[in-house]
Amino acid sequence: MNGTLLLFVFLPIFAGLFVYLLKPAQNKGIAVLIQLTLVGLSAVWCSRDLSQAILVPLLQIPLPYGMALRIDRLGAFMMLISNLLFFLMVVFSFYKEYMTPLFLAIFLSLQGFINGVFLSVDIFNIYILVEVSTISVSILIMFKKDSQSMYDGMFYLMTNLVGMAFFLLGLGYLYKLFGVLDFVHLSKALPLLADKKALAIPFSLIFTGISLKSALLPLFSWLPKAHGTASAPSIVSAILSGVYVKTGVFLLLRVHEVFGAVIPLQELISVFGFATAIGGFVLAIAQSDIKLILAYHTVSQVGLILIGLGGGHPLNPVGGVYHILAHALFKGLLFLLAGVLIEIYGTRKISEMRGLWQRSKFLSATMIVAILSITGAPFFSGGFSKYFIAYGHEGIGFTVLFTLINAGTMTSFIKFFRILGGKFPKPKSAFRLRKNQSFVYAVMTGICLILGIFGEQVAAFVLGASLSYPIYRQAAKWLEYLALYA
Amino acid sequence: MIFESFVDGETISVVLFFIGVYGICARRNILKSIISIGIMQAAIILFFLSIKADPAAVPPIGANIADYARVADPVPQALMITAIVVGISVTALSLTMFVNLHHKYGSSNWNKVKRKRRDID
Amino acid sequence: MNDHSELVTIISGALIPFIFLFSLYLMVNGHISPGGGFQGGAVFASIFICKYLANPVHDTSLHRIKKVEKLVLLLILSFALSFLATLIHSAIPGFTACYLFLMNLLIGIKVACGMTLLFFRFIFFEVEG
Repeated sequence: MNGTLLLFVFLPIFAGLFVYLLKPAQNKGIAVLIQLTLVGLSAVWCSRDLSQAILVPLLQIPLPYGMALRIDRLGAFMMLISNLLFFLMVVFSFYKEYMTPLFLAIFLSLQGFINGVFLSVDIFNIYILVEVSTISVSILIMFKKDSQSMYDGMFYLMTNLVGMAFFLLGLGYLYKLFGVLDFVHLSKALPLLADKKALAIPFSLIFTGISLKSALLPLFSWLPKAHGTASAPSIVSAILSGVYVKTGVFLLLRVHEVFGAVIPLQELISVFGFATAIGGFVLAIAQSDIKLILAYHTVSQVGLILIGLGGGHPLNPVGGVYHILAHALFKGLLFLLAGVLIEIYGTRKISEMRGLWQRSKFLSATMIVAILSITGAPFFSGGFSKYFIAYGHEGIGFTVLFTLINAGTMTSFIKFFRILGGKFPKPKSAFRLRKNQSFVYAVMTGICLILGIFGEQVAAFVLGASLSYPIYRQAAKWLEYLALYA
Repeated sequence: MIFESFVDGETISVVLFFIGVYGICARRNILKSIISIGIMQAAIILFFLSIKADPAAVPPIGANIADYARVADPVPQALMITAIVVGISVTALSLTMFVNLHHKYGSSNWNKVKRKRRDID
Repeated sequence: MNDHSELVTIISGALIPFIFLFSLYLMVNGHISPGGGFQGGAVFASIFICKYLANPVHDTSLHRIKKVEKLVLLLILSFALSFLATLIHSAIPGFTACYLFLMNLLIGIKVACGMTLLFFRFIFFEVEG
């Protein structure tokens, strides 16, 4: 069973290569089958008892000298999210014309690299895998090779290279101080250091690299260009916002495990979280392009996750991590919806989109569920995680800021509600939603609802955390939510 | 004497790294940005290789390696070969993208390209 | 390249066998001395560059090089996975050296193909759209 960990990394890359080399008529079917296997495997791993991390040394060489794969609860959880999202994306774009074998090969290899980041125990491995996934993502962004995507892809590549160069220099300092580079030994060795001030330089360099990867406040300007780019396929934006930005947050959590014993990180993460959340939605309100609103919104939500991670109460990090799952699903759903809306209306500006309720009730219902989730309505996934992010904070400053963030989120999504009303502007185009796309929408909407209503059971399954947020309390929150909306 | 004790691999590599950072901040030519990223990567490679580097160290190859007092550390060398490979591939990719960008936008200046990109939207 | 000098043409053509031998030496000696797959592959790619310098026509079939590269990548991944997932290394002593030798050769071939493709892409750049 422990050997199946290798499959998470190698199987998507193999699948991509097979799809590229053999080119039979049913190559996409192979991709979907492999995705299903991976989703099943990650669900199985989540259900095992992972309170202690399972370490699988490769070639039975012990850890400081060899490489190992480690899976603990956080890693299994992130892999479940990434495999599930990749599966849904591959099913969604089954019939699209940009699913050439080359695109699918790079897309699936990206999944293998992201899984590798979640499984590795060595910081240098993480650096290499993140660099290779940066290359894959920039190729996917500029896949259609027209002028806008070329600029966006190049900007993305350069900023991420500079960020990871800082990360690598910090790693060099860590190696100079300790001589080991894997998380297990570093977390044992760090408290033994006599001169704690020597850790300032490696920590600041590594933190700079990580905050560029997870798009925190001063370093997020690459994200709207990369995620909201005009001609990238919507599944690429969905994967980027849903999974790839979360690898930055995952790295932050791992670094927090290592450095947290020595450097007090809580206030730093909270401050960055608040700044990012407020900055994100302020910029999101000013946009008129549908994908750019969603991209700036991702910045704000990552800030919210960081507020959860830096909170004082022990339930706050659980809420933050749960929000990773919730955000991956509803942001992915919103990006897919944006792609379909751009196809239906032929324009990217929100002000010109009207009359969706007339055109298709199914799409409208999906959009309403997604927006209610993202703004934190009770019974939906967003509300569940936001309750736990704000749990136990009684101070007036925190409450004011948190309410401000919630209000700002809702304001930026009022524009989306306007899409529903009004008349459909031009005669009905021949656009029809295919079965696979409807299936994906239905599944994602259902999961958003399940994450909200049955949140306690889901949290116990994937996180091993016992949260108690029963239904009646959720119903009582509706009053607060509607009051804020009014 | 004091000056010579400062000039070793690590300080030179940090100076070189920040020269690269200056280059990518302050230059408007896209090619100079690509070169600056290359300088940053070279600086990191120098840093890793000069961690506890000793001119009297012996390469870690051979059967009777235990007889020698100082043996060079093979771990940074192996890590840096990987880093060099990654550096080459990202330089190649960014150069290809730059050639495409130059053909589409007709300029190799960040500001002009950014203005044209904004006009397209 | 309108007027290329005969000096470059003749000398780069004459150097090809020596470069070939040197690249093979680098590839094969990866596990016991400086060298290895990547270095040998990069030197191997310079053979194609020398051939282009000697005779600047576009008669190299890039399609075939791409196929070879992808096949070699498949072989590398399958060998790596099978070596890591099974317990051969403890059953047969000294197997690790054979594995390293084989992987060095395969990686060398793949890197050579990749570098050649890069070179030819830069030389014969086609604008699309």
